[in-house]
Amino acid sequence: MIYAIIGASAGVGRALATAFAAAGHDLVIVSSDERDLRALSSDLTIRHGRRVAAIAADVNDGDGYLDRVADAAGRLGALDGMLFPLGATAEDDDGRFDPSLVGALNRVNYEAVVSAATRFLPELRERPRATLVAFGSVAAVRGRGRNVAYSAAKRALQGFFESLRHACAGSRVRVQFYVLGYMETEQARGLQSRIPKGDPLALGRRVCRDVHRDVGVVYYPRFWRLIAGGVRAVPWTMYKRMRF
Amino acid sequence: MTARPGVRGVPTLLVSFDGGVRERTVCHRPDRYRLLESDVDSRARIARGGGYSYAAASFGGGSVTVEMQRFNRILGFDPARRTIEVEAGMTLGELLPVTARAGLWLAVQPGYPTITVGGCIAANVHGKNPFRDGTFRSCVADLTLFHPDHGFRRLSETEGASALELTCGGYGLTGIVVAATLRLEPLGGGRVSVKRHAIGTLSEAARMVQDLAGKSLFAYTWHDATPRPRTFGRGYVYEGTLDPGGLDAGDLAAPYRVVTAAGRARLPFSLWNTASARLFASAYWHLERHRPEVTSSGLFDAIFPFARRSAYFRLFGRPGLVEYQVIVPFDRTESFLAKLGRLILSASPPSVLLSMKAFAGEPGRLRFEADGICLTLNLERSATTLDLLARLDELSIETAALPNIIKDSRLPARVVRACYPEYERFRRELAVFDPPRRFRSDLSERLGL
Repeated sequence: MIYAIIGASAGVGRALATAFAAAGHDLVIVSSDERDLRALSSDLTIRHGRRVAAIAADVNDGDGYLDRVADAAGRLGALDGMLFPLGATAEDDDGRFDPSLVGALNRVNYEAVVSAATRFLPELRERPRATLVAFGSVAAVRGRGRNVAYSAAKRALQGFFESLRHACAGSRVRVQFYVLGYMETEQARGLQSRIPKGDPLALGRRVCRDVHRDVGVVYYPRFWRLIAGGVRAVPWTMYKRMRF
Repeated sequence: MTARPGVRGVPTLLVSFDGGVRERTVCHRPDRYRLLESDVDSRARIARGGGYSYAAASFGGGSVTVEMQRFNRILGFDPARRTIEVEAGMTLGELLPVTARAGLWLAVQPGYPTITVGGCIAANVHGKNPFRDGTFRSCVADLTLFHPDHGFRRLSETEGASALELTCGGYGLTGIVVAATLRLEPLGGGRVSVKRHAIGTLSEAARMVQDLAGKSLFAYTWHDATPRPRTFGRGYVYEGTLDPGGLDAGDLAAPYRVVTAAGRARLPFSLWNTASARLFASAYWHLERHRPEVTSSGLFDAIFPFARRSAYFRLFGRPGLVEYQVIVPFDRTESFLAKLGRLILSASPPSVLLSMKAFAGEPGRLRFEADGICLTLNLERSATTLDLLARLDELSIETAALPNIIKDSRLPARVVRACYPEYERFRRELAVFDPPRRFRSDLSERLGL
């Protein structure tokens, strides 16, 4: 089968690409880091013997790259699914609301995913089985004074995927949304927390295993579902005093 | 999944594999090329692979440690030309299944699978049979080096040959090895037969390994090194040959428990002492005698004998171990071994094992490479041991032997200067290549590099 992974060169994206290639899938991988993309493409081809099309593109530059994704997928066959492990945070996303920063975070974390998913949805509906997978964050469980625009965009994305899942119910398209806790990636490196971090490669294998199942919303690592429930249950009078 | 502007520094307590050096240091772990090249400021840097150096070669000296584990991708593989290009963080254990599928392998591999290619280059390591296969630099066709002042440079025998020479066995002091093209050899078999020869003395064993090394896959010895006159030096010579036949893919993927420098030192005390070492040596000697003379093992276990025997290292616990590895010129081996025996029997150190193999190579700069018998002595770290090592240093100087810099976190600069004729040349060339000396480590500071 053929999957497109948008944001594939590092962290969770790289782990997904590795897991899907190891499971025998051909890939279209997209990232703004051209050198890493080339390296990953070679690695997956040599190690797992899969066909991999690499597209260097920055989603901040608009949706033009989606034509190249469509071309590359067409050369391999036809897309069976898309995964969107992309996103961006910013140190100064703390409620100062610089409009350009909010716009940029919104673009990467929400708009780019929505554009790509809606662009390829008609094509995916024609496939015998197809899947759309997006990734959110536990940071979006409840609004707080840090990662303000990031969390809002991820929450919007979760809402969009919930709607998309509803719209695709009864069709052959699976729509999945993974809410990620702390992961062993560069983003969470140095994070002082007693909460164990998730292994990106184990996540990749899990996503690959369940790619045809109607899993809906999945927390990863799983215990984050409990933590998220607890955070939501904290009364506002207490929550407003919490600093995390 | 998310992008941040730079690499995040994390204070981490790093330990040399022998437990001799511990230091809290800032670690960076870039996972993209742009992070690697933007990770530049006035602080000195040093690259780190698997962290298996006995000496503190990948941290210390006030440097930021740049962990290269994320750079572990295969960049190109040409089975017809027998070359593979990999990033420096690629481990030998990851590499073996890929090359073995094509009937190829790296002829020079140290004994633990999570050692990285970058580490092998920096320390110019040797494998099971350095007499026949040379050292790791013989496997390096070219490499890509990153230095903040030079950028990314591809070094080969035709371009930047002197920098390549300085980098292979340069202990990471010329910059960060990012990738390398490695020369592979035909594998010729999927299993290894190991023939055991019982021997009574060190001298007899040295002659036998020298004789066998040229005509077998490997030949090494194990000796009872505990200080008892009756049993000291007895042991076995193991001679390995590749059995023609198919490769068992399951063997290469079989699990093992990875030991790290920090994990090795988890036990708060050492279980090795004079009594336990004697018990172990006697038990091993007797058990081996009752095993078949020829045994067969999978390729993975033959190449990486310590992968599934890491308990040996863990038992040294937090106090750590000491490894003294030295190449003694062939014509001085007899007298060296005689003096070594006298030293061990008189000092009664808590020695655990002694092993030998034949070596051949051209000494140069600070590379551990020469013609002679390579002798490895493992001891529990203690005051008696350190005293013995000081006397072994003198013995090495006296016999023109070459102690291994990467295996000894205490080796004094004076001894290295005396034993490595090109010590000053290495310093001089390093100063020319990198005048501000942007790459430093505990090892470089200790040795005055």
